[in-house]
Amino acid sequence: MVTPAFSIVLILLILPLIFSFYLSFRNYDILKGTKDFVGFSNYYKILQDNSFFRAIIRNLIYVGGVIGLNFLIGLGMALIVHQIDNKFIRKTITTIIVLPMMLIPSSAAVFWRVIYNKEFGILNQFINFFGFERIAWLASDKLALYAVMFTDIWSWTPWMFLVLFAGLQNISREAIEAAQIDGASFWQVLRYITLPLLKPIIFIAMMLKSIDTFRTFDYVWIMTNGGPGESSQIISTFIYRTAFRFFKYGYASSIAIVQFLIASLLSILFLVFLTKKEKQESRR
Amino acid sequence: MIKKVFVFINKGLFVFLVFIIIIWSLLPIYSLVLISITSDPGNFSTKLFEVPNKITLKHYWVILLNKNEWIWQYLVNSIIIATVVTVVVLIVSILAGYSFSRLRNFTSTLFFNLFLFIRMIPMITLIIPYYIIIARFSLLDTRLGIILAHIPWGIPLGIWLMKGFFDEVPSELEEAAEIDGASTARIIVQIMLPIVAPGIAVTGIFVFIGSYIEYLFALTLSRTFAITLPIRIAGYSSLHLIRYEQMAAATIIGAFFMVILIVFAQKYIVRGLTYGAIKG
Repeated sequence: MVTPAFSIVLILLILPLIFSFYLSFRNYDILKGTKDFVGFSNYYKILQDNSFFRAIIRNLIYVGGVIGLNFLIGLGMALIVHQIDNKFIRKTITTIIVLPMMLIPSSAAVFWRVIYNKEFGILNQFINFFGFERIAWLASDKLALYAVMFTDIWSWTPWMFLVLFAGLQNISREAIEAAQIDGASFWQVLRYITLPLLKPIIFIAMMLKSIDTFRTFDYVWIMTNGGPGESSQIISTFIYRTAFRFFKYGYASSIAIVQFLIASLLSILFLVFLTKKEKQESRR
Repeated sequence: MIKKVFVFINKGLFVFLVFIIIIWSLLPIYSLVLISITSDPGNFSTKLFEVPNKITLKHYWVILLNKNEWIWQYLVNSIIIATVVTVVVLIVSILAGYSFSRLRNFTSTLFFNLFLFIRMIPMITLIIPYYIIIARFSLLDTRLGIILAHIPWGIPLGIWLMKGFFDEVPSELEEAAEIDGASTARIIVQIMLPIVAPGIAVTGIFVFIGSYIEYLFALTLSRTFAITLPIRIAGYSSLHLIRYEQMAAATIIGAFFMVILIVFAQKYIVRGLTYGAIKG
């Protein structure tokens, strides 16, 4: 009964993936009109391409910054909302927190371009209000990447919040209350009870989020196109630009394959962990 | 006394933090709404906390009723594409999810993990072959082209969620039906489907959303006719005339559909968001 699902995936995903491998060994270039087999030369080219390595490093900064801050803000929010006893207030605040996730990601990205706008963006008005100079966030080669990251963080914090909040609600209150009666402070409870109990969920959330963030495309592409210059270029926009701006399909495919291999490593780690967890659960 | 002061400060800090959370989520959205209801183009929200003196719903009427500007065509594209994708994905993943839930042998686990793995492949890896293949079959700028690109990415999510819902149904039920002589097809259709109906609805909603908000494939595989809502909204800022007010209004209308869908799936939202890895 898996056959229909598998045949669809085979035809629409696995075969195109193999085609991508095939393309990565050719100098397929629409503008030059070449299409020959060139062996590993595309891959050698990647090794000498500084733009590629800079994109990888930016990608690492992007993933690290986004999931790190997502986690801290999401956890903070979850802990605070968890403390609210009034059911109505708790529900209202949860709804407010989830709102950013209701925006279509691409529209959130466009809309944040307005927020970052130098003349009338709400962020610069805030800065101006406190007497600082207005900043052209997305036009600055030092700040553009971080500005995009912040948008990503803002849009996906609700995700982290919901996941961690669900985890917190599954922790028995008795353990925490017992510790509090014994005189444990808020931080002690967090450090020795809450976090250790949340650990499996935190791990799953961080893994899923980093796999998803690693392949981000829309925020960067819509907000900066990878620019100014190359200053916010990450792997996915680098591939897209190489393929659909410079029409070097062969070279772009080989970069895509490298990205695929890195992502595979992450996902295999994750799957091994999940399978182990399932086994433990079924043993219980 | 000191303890009382401490408690008071703690309470104050707590309320302050809740306030910060509300600002964090709502301030950008407040500014979005403000832009969408400001009357003069290019002159909006010049003062941060000042509601514009002329509030108008003009921009909403323009994108909903003005024939040259309306977003219906894009919204309809998005809904048609997402609906077809959802139906196809549901059919195959109900079958696959059921068998993954009941068969626990090596091959089954291997295939299940293969589907999970597929969900994590960077979409950009496939964009070049998709573009070339779909252009070869003259399916560029058609809804079918985008549908074909979306389907394989919905299947892992569908299977993952459906397996979880089937796992919750005790197998004694089918064993009893089997003893009474029911065939496998009949067990699925008459016994399992009614029980997991809510799960099918929830799975459908998440698959639908995944296709509804998808950007990369829809962007690359469309030109004019097959443009979907996310592409249209992102396009407001790259046209010659930047129409922020319409962009804001379209964003809110697009979000409105998301809210409706999510409200129905509320109870299972964490499960849907984590592909079933966490059963909240």
